[in-house]
Amino acid sequence: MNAAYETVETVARTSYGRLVAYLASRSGDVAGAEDALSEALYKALIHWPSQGIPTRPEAWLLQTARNHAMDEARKRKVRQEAMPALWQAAQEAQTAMEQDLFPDDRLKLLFVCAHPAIDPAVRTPLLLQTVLGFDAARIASAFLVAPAAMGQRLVRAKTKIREAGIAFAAPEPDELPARLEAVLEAIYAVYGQGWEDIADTASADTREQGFTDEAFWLARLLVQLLPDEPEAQGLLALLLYCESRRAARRSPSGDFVPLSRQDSALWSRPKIEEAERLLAQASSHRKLGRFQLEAAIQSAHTLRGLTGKTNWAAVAALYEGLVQIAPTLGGFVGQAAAVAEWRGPEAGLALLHDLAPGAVKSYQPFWAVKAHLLRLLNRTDEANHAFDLAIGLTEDSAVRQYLLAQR
Amino acid sequence: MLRNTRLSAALLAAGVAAGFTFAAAKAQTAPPEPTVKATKPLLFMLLPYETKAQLAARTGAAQKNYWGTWAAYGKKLAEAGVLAGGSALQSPSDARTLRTRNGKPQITTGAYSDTKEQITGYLTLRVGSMDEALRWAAECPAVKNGGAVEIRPTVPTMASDRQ
Amino acid sequence: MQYVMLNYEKTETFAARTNDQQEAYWGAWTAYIAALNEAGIMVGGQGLQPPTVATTVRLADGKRHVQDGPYADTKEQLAGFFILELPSLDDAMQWAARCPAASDGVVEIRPVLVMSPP
Repeated sequence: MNAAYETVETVARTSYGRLVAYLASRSGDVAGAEDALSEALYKALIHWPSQGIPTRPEAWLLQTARNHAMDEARKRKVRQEAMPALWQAAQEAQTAMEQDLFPDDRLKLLFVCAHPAIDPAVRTPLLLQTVLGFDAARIASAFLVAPAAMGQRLVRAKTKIREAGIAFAAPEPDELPARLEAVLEAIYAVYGQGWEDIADTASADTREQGFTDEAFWLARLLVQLLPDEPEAQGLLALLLYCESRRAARRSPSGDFVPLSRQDSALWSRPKIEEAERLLAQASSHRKLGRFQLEAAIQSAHTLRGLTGKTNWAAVAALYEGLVQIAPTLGGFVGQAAAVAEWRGPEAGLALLHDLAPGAVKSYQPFWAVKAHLLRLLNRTDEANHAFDLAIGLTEDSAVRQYLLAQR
Repeated sequence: MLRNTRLSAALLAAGVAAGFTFAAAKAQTAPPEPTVKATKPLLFMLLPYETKAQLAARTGAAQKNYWGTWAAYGKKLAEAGVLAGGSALQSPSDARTLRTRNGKPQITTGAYSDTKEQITGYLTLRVGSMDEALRWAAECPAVKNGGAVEIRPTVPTMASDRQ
Repeated sequence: MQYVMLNYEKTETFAARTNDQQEAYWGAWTAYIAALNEAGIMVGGQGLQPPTVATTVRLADGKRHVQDGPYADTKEQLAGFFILELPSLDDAMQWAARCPAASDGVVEIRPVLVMSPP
């Protein structure tokens, strides 16, 4: 039942994204394309599970959208020509579908959503809405923003796309690396939203499962659309490594289990194998990047499943490479943790000490690592303070319980 | 200055801003002698619940009366030396509520409780007993105008107030 | 901007203050308060005793009416509050998500009507 619903939802969202991309790239109007299709997506999600998926899902959505628009026009006594560019594009789409020439413009839409002119904070929500058709309310809760405020931010971003005339085109080769990184980051953030949804695996309503599936869907789409981009492969590999440990991240009673204590027998072999294949493929391009390095770090952790122990020197070296390419707080804290395992807690603490106090003040992983290292050094008072902050800053109750027991 | 400029102008015009200043009352260095001598002062929290009509009176024609009544109440508490702190809150419709559903945060607009009356502020009183807190609560404008006040003793060990 | 964070807890959570769960209960709150202080955003706050010791006063038919118990009979009950100084509502929501009450209760964020002498 749920599996069947998921298939319907995947097909409906795929077709929706393709149509929005097609219409928006021709009319320049993302909001208009969404408005025209949102009712059709809603109807598809209601009718397809019982009536079956139509042979040409895009054509069904487009026809439903046009019928709805005509009804609305009749009701409000306005002519459909009020949106000429959009409906001209719709006409072209119909012709293209009839000739089986309907192009996939979603890559252009991905690049528009992660355009440098768009506020980085709204890129991921925008991508979830335009490419996948999620409503503002669902996106809002995941990003800890009130629904109305999220709605306004999305509207502003779409107005900017239209008014600034942001081009619906794949970037020029010289711009591609930077522009691609923004797209990859936005997709990685989609996965980040789903990361803590582990408690949901028992939930009856799989639609409540967060955005993990969507992140995979987008990452796979990108690999398919850009087969020669090693960073796209790197991102997909990274997601697969992380996901391979889902079953091991909680004990049977729901307690948090840190990576170093996880039972590697619970890791998913097929996911790890696919990740290894992708990473090997990516490295054959000889173009190293942030996501390949992040995936390589996870690959090194995965080796413990075979050798029984972690090669911390290798993990530390990979982190050093990572923070040179992408100096993120997460990278630096990860590096400190790896160096501490390799060379001892003092070496790790020294790296933590180098980080700007203002930047780490409310960064939970920093305090969790610091607490652990201070504890190892028997610096009890400082360790307790660091534990307090790590516990106080966590949003995940299982992690909170774990840290409370450690304190 | 009031951060809410619309209300700020209204309040200054009504001349009550200085009176309804719990922060200022808090800052008084030498509070007047308490009317009831507490052997061991306790901290109680007063939670005013006001009706829609009372909330509506915060703006418009009735605002002078609304804020004036609260200002007078605050002043009385301060002069009795029982006022420890407090503040008015913006309308429940400006609230955001967060809870966890199926392990994920869910945010809604508006206050948690959908009761007929809603929390519109809070007051902390330093008094000797629940009975004394009750006597002060009975004079609260929230009660006089059709709402209610809930009184709750605070948890001493959790006092995080920096004062 | 000042925001009040109202923390609502279930009956079981109130019970955890004194039963065998008390170490975890108080540990989580102590840590959260430490994080608020470290971030330099804490203006004030107070924990409240359980709703069972609350008293509510109202006027009914012009007469003062005092009842035992809290005003609202909602599933979760007010357990305490913080006043926080934060740049925006988004920041307030971020801290709300970290609050122990967010895990099995409810957290409400409300902007404070700040008044100080002109």
